[in-house]
Amino acid sequence: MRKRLGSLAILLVPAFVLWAVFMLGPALWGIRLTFTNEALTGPAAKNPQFVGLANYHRLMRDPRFWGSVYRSFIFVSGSAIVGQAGLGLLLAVLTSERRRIWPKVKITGRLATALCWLAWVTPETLIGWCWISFLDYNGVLNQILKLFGLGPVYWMVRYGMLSIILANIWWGTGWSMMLFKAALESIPREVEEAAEVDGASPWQKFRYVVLPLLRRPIFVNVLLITIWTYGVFGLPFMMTGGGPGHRTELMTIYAYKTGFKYFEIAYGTTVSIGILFITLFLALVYHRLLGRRA
Amino acid sequence: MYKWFKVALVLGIMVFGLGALAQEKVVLSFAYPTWFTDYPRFLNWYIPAFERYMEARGTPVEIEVMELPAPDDPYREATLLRLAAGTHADIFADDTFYIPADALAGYLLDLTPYVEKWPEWKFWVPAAKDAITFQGKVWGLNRDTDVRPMYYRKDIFELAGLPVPWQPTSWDDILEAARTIKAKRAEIAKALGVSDVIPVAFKAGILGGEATTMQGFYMLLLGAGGRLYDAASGKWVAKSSALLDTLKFYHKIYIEEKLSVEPEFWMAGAPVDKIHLYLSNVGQRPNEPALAMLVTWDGVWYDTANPEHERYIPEPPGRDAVLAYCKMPAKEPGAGIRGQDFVTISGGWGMVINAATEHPDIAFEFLKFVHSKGEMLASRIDVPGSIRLPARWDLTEDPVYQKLATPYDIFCATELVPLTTVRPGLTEYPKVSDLVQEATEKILLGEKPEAVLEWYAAELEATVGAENVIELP
Amino acid sequence: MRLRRWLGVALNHLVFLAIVAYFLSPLTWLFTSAFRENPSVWVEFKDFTLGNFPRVFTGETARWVRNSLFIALTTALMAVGGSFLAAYPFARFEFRGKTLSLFLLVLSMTIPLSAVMLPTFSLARFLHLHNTLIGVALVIAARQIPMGIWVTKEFIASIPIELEEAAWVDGASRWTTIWRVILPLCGPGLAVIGLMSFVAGWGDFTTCLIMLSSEELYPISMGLYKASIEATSWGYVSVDYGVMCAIGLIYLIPPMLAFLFTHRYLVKGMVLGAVKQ
Repeated sequence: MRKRLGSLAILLVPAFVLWAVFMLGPALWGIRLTFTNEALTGPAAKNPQFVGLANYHRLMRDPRFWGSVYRSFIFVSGSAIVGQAGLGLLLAVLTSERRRIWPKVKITGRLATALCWLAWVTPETLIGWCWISFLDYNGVLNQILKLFGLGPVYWMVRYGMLSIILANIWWGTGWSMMLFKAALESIPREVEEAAEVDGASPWQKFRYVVLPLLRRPIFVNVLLITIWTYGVFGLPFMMTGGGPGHRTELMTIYAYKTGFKYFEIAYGTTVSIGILFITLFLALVYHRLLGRRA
Repeated sequence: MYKWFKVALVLGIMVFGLGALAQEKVVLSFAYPTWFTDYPRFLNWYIPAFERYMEARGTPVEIEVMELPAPDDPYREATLLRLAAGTHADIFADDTFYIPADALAGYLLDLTPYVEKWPEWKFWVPAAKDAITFQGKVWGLNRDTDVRPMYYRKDIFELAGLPVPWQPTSWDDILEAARTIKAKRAEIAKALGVSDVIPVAFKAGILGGEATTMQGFYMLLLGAGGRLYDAASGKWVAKSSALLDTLKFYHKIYIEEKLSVEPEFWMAGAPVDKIHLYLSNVGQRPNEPALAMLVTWDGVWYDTANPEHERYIPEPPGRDAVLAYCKMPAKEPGAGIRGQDFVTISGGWGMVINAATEHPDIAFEFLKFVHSKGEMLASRIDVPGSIRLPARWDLTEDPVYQKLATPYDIFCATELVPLTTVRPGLTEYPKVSDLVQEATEKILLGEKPEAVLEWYAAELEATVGAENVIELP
Repeated sequence: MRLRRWLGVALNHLVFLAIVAYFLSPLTWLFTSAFRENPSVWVEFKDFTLGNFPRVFTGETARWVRNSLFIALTTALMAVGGSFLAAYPFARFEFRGKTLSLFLLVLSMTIPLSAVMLPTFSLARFLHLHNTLIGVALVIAARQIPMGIWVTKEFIASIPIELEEAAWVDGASRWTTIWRVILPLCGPGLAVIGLMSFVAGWGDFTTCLIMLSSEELYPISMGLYKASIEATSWGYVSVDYGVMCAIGLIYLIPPMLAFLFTHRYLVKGMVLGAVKQ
């Protein structure tokens, strides 16, 4: 069994090449890019130059970048930590088969979980399409308001950040809900029964028995969705494009615009290095946590 | 090295047969804005005619059309991505203000040796030559240029008790008319059968793109006697009273007096398209408002009479009964640039050749064909409103061409062209234009004009360098 | 007591109904318009038809579907193939760099595509894979490799080595056992990888946005994106909302089916440690 790999090493080649070129490659290539002035037009498009740390220098003094860092933080806190994890936990607890914290209501509960799941599997652009149709000036929300004689509102302009946060909660909650459900099911029944014998109320049961046991899954999941949410791009990009002004310009959107609106590939990459650092840091924490189990 | 990677990948994972088809004909690809009035003419006439013409000359050529996304910004993005990837068309249209940057990037073929050998090049008017010349070299050919009038709705003006025909002579005249219309907006809207009446609009915001700069900001800035670039010192203007006046005017109509659309209008969807639909709404879209005054490009006049176009004003009443045009006034008489009473600005697109083309000579043949006097005249006859301000003076002087002129064409050529000015033909201009758009958006978001000007000065300095900016009184 | 219980049930329903409303509201227009003849941006309950669905498979929308299918299938094929082959050595051998490479694989899983989209574009341009469907599929497939190897490795490790040993005694080579013994037994695991990669390719937006500039290569995601821009712009372009919403519903079906089969597995696999303490 512990034989030498020998000619079987060739089995590793396709996957490794694919991974190294298209996954590791861009990350390394990106680091190289940040030391150049590569652009899509102008003199730098013809002869990209090595510019040392100039891009990082510019990044440090770029208020628009720091603004995007702040907005990404707000977006992640609002949509991932509060929204997805919070709503996901609520749904998981309320509909869990085994935990009778609240009286059971089958139909609405099932419907809520099914829709939540459906939202999670919906492709990104379709979610954008749906939310635009809902929040647009001529959209469904304004149509409903009109029935009550209320004026139309440019929702995605006036409440841009809230709009993309709500859309992202809508998209991602399904994952957290399923994960928390799985975690709830894995709590031994006896623990709960013991609490019941002691005469604990449902709320006490949840607060003092279930929640402590869920602490670790919650923490790991929050970490995971934080990593994912920092990388979210398509949905907010489609809905607000970072506007109005820069009010919904997340780090990902700023990086994209620098590259494909202002055509400064190198500086745009430098912007996204920030996202890379944040996610890699969180990933290392995640890895340490999972590693401790083994 | 990359070839090795590619080979390994493709072999390791999946083998793709690359059908290299043997081509007898020379194939040239061609990209042109699909939203242009004369785009169908390229498909239906120029391309087949050119193919026949080359066939007759013994060099069979096939022109392939490459369709790029619309409008300006997506078109620009696709253009640059393809140029950078080396996959762009051999011949394509470029907004002239991008020519400097693209020429420096090495994307464009230097046409100087070609035009020097072409006897007809002498017919180009100097202003048209300037638009396609950068660093003393010619990078493309243009068919025509454009100007920007101000449009107003006669029916709304009459309902508001304003005089028709109308020619404002100051910004105050515009504001006064707008206030009068605003005071009666409900009854006018009812009379027209539209949801609301918007007195006036100047294009603004980031989504407006170059339209914000050219048909909004610049038209006001020139009227306040200002420029973005000071040719005398060779520096970009960071601060001037004209810049501040322009920002203040935006602030006045959008925030202070609310004489226009809601500021949010410019930050959602495709506002530039929408505002034109408002201008041409005579009740055919009852759920949408109508707009009384708008500065926009000259082609809109023809769109509003073209039944194929969404901007069409149906009959009755028809365009001529409701829409009229006038000159955009300076802030006060004589306050405009060069002491003018009225102002306008010109732009336009150039047709350029990809530096990477394998057939530069044949590509230039196509340019010559499309820009020949006969073809341009035919286009003028075929597509109403096309080539009204030709780049060639021999066309302008042609008696057949002159006979085609409508009063509107004469107005543009004789009243507006002498007033016109152009954007600075510099590599930095597109970036400065982005800043201008952002500055107007800041006004829309409620920031004070003085603060926005400070912001603009700082951003401009960061963009073009402190040594390249100047503050004017 | 009974009143209290009744109130509890009512309150519970109320909470769920609020959640249902939240999840349902953005879908209303999509679902009504897909079944309506020439729908506008308004939600109306009239002119119902099924005619939009056949029309999806004509014209440019048919091309979107084809391109999406091509990207998704190629992605799945490459991800499954690559992961399966590489997982075998990882499951059955100890070799130098194994721990490190596994660590790097897992770590790389967390790099969001949006953090490397510009270098991905620049690299693809360098490799001349920009603006090709195969280039898009390669990028997406590469992103499935870490998870693919990880899952398949666990699967192979759970197959008793004795099964292979028996075959070796009969004179079969390692290659034969990989093909004849391991592959069939890995079926469910590979199906999961395949489905997930398919969905990743099917739903991808960011890779296509940065890599594709020709409309003839647009998959459904880019088509919908383009339509969403045009939906609010008029001029010469008018959007056929009926067909767009119909294609939206069709777009939803493959991920729904795929995740129906895999989601439990996915949840447990991803956070096994977290759940099981």
